Amino acid sequence: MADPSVNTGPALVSMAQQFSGLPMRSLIGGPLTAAAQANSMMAMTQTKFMMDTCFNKTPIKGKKDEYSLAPIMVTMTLSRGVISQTPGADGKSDKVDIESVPSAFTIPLLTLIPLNALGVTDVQVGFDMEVKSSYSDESSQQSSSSSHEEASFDAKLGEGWWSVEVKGSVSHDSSSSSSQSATYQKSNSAKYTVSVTAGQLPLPQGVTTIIQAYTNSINPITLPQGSEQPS
Amino acid sequence: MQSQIPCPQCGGTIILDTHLLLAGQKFSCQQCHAQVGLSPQSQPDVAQAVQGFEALQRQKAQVATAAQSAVNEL
Repeated sequence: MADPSVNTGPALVSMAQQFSGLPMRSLIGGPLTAAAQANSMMAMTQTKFMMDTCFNKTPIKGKKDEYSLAPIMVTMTLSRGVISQTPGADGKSDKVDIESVPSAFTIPLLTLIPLNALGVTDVQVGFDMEVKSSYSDESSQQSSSSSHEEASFDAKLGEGWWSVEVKGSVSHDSSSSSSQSATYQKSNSAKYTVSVTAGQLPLPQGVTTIIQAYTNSINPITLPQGSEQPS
Repeated sequence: MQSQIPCPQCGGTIILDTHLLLAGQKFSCQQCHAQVGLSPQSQPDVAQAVQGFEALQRQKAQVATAAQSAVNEL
C-alpha cells in the first residue's frame, strides 16, 4: 500500500495516448501513394516516349486531328549456314560444304527497347517511434548546531593570616550535525515499429494463359497439301 | 540494356544487348545458331531511341530521389 507521506511526483505520460494520436494513415499510406503516383507518371512518360520515338505519325486524309501510327522498322542482318553437297571427282564421295548465306529482315524498333524495365519495383516503409518519460526528485536536509558555554568562579574562604582563595573556570562546547537525502526516480518507455513492403505482383495465371493463347494464334501454321486456305 | 527477339529461322529466342548491337556485335540463336546483327542504315534510329530511353532512366532516378526526400520530411 502506498505511503501517503511519500511524494511520488507527477504521473508519467500515458503511452497509449501518445500512440493513438499518430496519423498512421498518412505516415504509411503517404509513401505508398507517392510511389503509385510516381509509377503512374513514369507510365505516362514512357507511353509518350514510345509513341514519339518508335512510331511514325501520319495524318489521315479527310479527318482532322487524327493520325495513323506505323511502327518504325529497323533492318537486321541474318547469317545462316547452308549445307551444300557437291559430287566428288571420283563420282562416289560427295564433298560437303557449309556456306554462310547472308540475308536481311526487319523488326519493329519497339522490340529493341526494354520499356517494361521502368517502374517502381519495391517500396519499403519503416517507422519507429519511441516515447520515454521519467521523473526524478532528490531532496537533502542538513542541519548543524554548536554551543559554547564558559563559567568561572572565585571564592575566598577565611580571613587574616589563614585564608583560602579558590578560583576556577568551566567551559563546555558541543556541536551536532545531521544530513538526510532521498532520491525518487520513475520512468516508462514504449516502442512502436511498422514495416510495410510493397512490390509489383506477377500477372495472374489466367491472364498469362490468355496472353499465351493470343501469342500462339499469330504463329504461322503449315497447311496440308490440297486443303483450302482459310478466308 | 537487354532485349529479346524471336529467331526468324527457327522461332527460338535471341537475347540482344542494344549497346553491343550498336557497336556492331552479332548475336546467335541458341537453337539454330543463326547470327543476327544490326544493319548500318538502321543505326541512327536505334541510337536515338537508346539515348531517349537512357534519359527516361535518369528521370526515373530523379523521381525516386524526390519521393524519398518527401518521405523523409514527413
